[in-house]
Amino acid sequence: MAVRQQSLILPERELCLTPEPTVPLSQHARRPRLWLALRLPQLPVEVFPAAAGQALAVVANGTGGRCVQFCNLAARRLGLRPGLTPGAAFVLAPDLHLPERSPWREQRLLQRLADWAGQYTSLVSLEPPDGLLLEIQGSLRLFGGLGRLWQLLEQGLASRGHRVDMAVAPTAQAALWLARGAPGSQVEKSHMLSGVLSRLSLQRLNWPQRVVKALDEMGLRRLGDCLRLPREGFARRLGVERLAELDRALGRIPEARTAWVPASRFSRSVDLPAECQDRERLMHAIRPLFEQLQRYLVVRQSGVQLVELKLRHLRAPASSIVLRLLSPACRAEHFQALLGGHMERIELPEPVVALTLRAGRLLPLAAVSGDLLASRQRMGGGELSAGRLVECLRARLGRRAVYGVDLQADHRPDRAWRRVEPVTSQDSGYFAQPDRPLWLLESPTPLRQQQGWPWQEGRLRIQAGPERIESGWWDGADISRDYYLARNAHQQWLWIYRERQGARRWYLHGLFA
Amino acid sequence: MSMDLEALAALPGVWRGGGAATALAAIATGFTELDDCLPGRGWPVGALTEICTQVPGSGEVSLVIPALAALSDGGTDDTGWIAWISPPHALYPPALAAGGVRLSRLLMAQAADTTDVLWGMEQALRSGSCRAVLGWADKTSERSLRRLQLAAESTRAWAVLYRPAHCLEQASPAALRLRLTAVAEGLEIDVRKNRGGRPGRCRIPQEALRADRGRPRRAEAQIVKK
Repeated sequence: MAVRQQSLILPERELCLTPEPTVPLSQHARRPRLWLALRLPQLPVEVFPAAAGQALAVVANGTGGRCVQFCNLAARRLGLRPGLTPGAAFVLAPDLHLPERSPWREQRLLQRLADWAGQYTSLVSLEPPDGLLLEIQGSLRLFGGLGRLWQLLEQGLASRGHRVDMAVAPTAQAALWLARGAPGSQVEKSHMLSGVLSRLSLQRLNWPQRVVKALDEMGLRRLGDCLRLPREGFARRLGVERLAELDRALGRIPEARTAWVPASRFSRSVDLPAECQDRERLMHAIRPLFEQLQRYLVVRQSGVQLVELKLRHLRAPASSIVLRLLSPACRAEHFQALLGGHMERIELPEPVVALTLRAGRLLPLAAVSGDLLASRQRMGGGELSAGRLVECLRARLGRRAVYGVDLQADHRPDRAWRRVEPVTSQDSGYFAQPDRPLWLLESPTPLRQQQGWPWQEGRLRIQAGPERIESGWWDGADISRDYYLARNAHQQWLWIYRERQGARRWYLHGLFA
Repeated sequence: MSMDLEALAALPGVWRGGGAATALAAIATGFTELDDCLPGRGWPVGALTEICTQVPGSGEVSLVIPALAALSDGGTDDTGWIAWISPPHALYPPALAAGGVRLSRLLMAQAADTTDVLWGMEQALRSGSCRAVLGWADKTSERSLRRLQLAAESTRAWAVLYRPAHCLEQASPAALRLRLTAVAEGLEIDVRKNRGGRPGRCRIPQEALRADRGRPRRAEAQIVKK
């Protein structure tokens, strides 16, 4: 039987997966994609904090029992290699830090990096255990071309202490393979792809060892060798999944990638390298958390009004600082400045070992148009808005000590007004009573009496009155008073009243200051 | 050609000795007697005003109400804020409203001690969002007063510091220092320091001082009383 050998490289006609479109596809569907794959080969080590020069290796249960799987640069310099037993590792490096490998931490870090990468593209996809995919076609113009974006990513990751391998290709699968097999490759055009992929060594793909071994025994060492095989035979021997991967890499079949959706609330913790009670140093340690929060918020174009910082101690329950903002904010300096006020006041029972920063609900940032000249001239160069002033005062004086006021429809003098949230509230427009003093005492003070007349360093001279206020029978705080205007020996104007029931005593209730 | 002095002074470009004083930005106090004493015919803006009283509650708040009413009632939203830091007794909002002050422009703050009062005033002044900042303090060093004066100069806000009368013996960088005494006929104002002007005295009659004077609401209230 003559088997028609079909090359894996399909003729041009078959590259078109869908029939010739009769209606034009939407702009989106036709838009070419460009994927940038990031691979973090040292991720298992990088999840653990280590001081500079501290040797660190990660152990895990492998085929030959517990052994070192990854080690950092300092450990490699001391001669550590993957595969060593923990005992042998300690012989080489006595002050080695040797934690258990933590897939959970790796996952978290990868998600955090996906959040971070969100500032460069709208589509980030996780590729566990150690990879990220960024769709960058739409970002190239904004960031000034591939070279510049590449540089930004590389610098950004390096500053966060990551070693990274990157590659760019028109398909996600190809970008991932290139990041593994030929880091640094930048393939922008689809027609160059098969050529570059052909040179990839099969050993460097993340295919199972069994498959690679089988191919090796067949004398196939590079991806190009596989591409020349007949499709059916390849699928039968090595599995349909491998063939599909090849097709996806070459862009013959589309690949649907799940986009990373960042968490809707911000929450981050950081372990301090050493116990710390010094406020200055704590502020310094918090700074990166605020910067992360800012990045998180900027990516979402949102702000928060509530930020909680927990300072964790070894034994005592965690101390907590809550920053409340009048309007949604997103700037790290703003949070940092507010925290400064709180930090001065807080009592720390014990040194702090870890910090947790949590932000409240995300709120849309109010669009503020910057004023080029006018506001500065008008207000004389002040930087803080009224909202920030309130936050700043509250940070030091306490939340309840700063307030706005409004009127309330009530005849009882002490209920004719109420405290409101400052700056944000509006006038209620209630009718203001005439003849009221500018200062009202917190609670009326009883006046001395002589022969039924009110007395305060001499008899008070009644100037006007009475104004009878009788109200409030419905809520149990009813009053029945006759108010008078009086003057004392200092020529002060006083607002006094006499109770209409009971002992008919005189009280001082306010001053016309 | 003869020209009398008035006509000469009216010519543009003729420099007059008193010009420096009139150039000061000011907010009309609302009392003609006091305006006449002050170089800018009003409270100095961008400077510190000290108001000292023998007994608190002699009329020192009523004195600033007309100016605050004018400041808060600019009609637009960017009129700025009026911050009150630590009055000895709670300011009574209905009386402020009756005086014409827009309550939604007010910011009240209670500070625990003098240090916090001065700090709060300085923050409010430096924020650039307040048109007037009024605070109550007792013992203050000259240095902290200078800080306040500098903060007031850096913005176009009117800073008022209320202090007891004995503080007048202490030197102060404030642009205006007043001593108030309540007398039977009204309020006696002794202008102790007057930058760009001369010290002097004036008396404000009691009827003018009442916070709600001249307001239509008062007229309504009178009708109700009858």
